[in-house]
Amino acid sequence: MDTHVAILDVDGQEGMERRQQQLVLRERGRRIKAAAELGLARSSRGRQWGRALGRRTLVVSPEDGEVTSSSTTVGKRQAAQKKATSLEDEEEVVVEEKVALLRQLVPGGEDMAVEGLLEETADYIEALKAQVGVMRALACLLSGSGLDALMPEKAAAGLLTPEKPH
Amino acid sequence: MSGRRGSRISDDEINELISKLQALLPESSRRRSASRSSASKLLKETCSYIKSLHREVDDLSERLSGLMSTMDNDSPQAEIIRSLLR
Repeated sequence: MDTHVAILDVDGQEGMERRQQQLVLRERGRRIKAAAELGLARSSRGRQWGRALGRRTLVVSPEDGEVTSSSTTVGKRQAAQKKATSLEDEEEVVVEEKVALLRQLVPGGEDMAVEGLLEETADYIEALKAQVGVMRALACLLSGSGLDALMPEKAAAGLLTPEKPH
Repeated sequence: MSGRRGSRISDDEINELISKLQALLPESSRRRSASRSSASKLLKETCSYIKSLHREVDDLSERLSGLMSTMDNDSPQAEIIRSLLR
């Protein structure tokens, strides 16, 4: 076989395998995230954001869309600012805009009154922090360095020593 | 009151927003911002904070995915993961 073609072939094969592996990894990552969100929703003790998140996660979409300010939001702000004459009015416009953004970030936020939205936001932030903590601990565990911290008794009994070298 | 698009926020509500939001944000940013932070600034920080937490969840999900692919199914680590998923 021509060396040129042979090299291209190997590259193509490896490239394809790498791409496939990437797809597998990404898909697993998405499922991990969905599992984490479901766990988060279940631990919310019936909170509105929890119920909304639970409903949303069950309709798993292949690609999670980024929540960004759309052009319509900017358009609305420009229209509102034309009405706002004083400094206070301007501040109020920005607040309205930020509240709208918060509604998109907190699950179920679109259906809440402003006061309720803040309550839910506080609870949601606390839950997110806890979720991040758990996932960090899991990552630590899987990278082999955190076992002792998580299971001191078993570590003492010598049950956690890895059999093969990393 | 539904508080959806169209309803305006009163001054009182804004003041309450400010104190509630300051309590929400992490210690570090609370100290950095003066006590006279505007509601809009606090709301902006809250939104960024939530977005950064979301990004962390995404990054960790990806990382865990990679770590799990190299995991030995018979290890104690795998058993811990399995017990969490039950």
